Amino acid sequence: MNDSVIRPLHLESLEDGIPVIPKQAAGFYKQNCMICLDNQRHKSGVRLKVKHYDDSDVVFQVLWDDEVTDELRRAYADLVRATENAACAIALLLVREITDFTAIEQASRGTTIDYYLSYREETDELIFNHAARLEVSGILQEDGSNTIDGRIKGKQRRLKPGLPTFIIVVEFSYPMSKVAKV
Amino acid sequence: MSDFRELHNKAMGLAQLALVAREKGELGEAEALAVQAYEYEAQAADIIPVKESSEPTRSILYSSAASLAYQGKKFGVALQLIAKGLSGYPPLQVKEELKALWGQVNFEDHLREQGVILTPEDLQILLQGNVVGSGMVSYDEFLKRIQALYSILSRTVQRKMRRDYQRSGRPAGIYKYFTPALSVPRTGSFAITLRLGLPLAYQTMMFFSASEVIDEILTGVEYINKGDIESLRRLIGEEAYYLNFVSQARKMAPDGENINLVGLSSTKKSVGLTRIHKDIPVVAKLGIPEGDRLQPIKVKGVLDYANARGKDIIGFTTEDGRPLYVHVREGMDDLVRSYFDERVSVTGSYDIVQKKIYLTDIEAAED
Repeated sequence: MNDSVIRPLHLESLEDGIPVIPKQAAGFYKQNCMICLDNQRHKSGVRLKVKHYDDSDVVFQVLWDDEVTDELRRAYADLVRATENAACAIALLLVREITDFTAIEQASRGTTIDYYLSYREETDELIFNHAARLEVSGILQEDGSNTIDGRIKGKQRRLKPGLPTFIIVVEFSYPMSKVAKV
Repeated sequence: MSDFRELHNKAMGLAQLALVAREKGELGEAEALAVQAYEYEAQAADIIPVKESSEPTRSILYSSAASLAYQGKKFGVALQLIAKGLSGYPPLQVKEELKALWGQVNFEDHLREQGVILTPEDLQILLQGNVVGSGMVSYDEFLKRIQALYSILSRTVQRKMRRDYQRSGRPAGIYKYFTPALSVPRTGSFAITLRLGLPLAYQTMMFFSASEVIDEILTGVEYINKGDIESLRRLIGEEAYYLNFVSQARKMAPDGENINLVGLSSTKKSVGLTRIHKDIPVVAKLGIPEGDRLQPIKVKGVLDYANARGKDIIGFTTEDGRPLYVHVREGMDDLVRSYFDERVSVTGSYDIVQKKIYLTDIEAAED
């Protein structure tokens, strides 16, 4: 993986290859992403730099078809929630694109949502026996006390021993994302 | 596709639609979808045999099914599904999640059975544990938690009014405006409801509602329960208020023996605080000077307000009669004040030259 190859990341593809997102919910997640990127003055085609846990960088071009209208902005006026939902959407796309896993289970706990991942080719009924977890966090705009690295470290500190875990933090102003594996 | 896969995929699809409905404020629809989802997930879980090699798949599926049943307000079913998950061989991580979920579901089930109807101005606190009997509770265990909650309420109102952290003196009456009302207790738990009634004369001065104050407290306690200190810090902002919230929530938290759950609920949300106080990080370590003359200390004694030197130095006499001073950071003052003239155990860094303890934690001394 290197910087020179820019890979497309279509928000419409949320409905493909991510079992935890049914087709009827894909639009909701796509719109959350559009709102957050639009809020940070980005348009379809914006580049998303992803810092991979193996220390390489991957660059994606985030693409979507629809327009961000005032009506859509009003519908997603709670930017805190939109940021969390959009981060989940981007994280699930990244898992599909840069790992051998895909999300098969959503686990709601309190105010955050985690996911269980399994190998894409897994056919066994014991679907979680070779699984990993995914923890996601979103930042609309990084600042001094609210950083990507800070979020990663916070999640690492709280992890309990168990399944291997991916931590993905998505920041929407640059935009960029960091993927850690524990 | 196997029956199992089909059932699980249906469950996850419905669970996701429930989440989207909840996000859109369609709460009835969200509950109905969650109920459908748990039914499929529970059927999938039932297919997996109860044996060690089935883990962690089996317990994760029951945890998921129970969580969905809980979202669908099927509390009895949720408790049964949790019991099924625990009855196998769940790994530690999933076991802890199932136990935490049990506390949360049991708490909400209690509210429903008790028939408590809250108004948007109400905050209910419920205690469960070994010192809670048939409508009775250990006075000390109750009192210290209600004092901590009172402090959190008052400070949250001050903060939302954008007032600087008031360190000394009595807070103005406007910050202390809730009146407690006792609810009917039930065997195995104890609950009271606090109603935040605002005097008419103050109503035009407030730019926020009582329910906003309650919401923010519940969100903060939820962060504490998850150990998500970063999110709590972002929610509260100013350091002194943040430190106050953590120190008081720590005082309110279960000890794991006498009290194992402190539940807080409003009309919108319920949070079961199951994290024991020793597992909530002591945050006052920040800002303590470093140097050779500092050494860790944990010592018992009595706080002596009469010997205070200035607003942040409190007198302290150890059990063997040594006079020391305790340096109290802004934000921890409410906690310290609640222990004046009591036997306490003080933890911190001791400056051997100035005979001063930089306080990181304080709690009632055990015999």
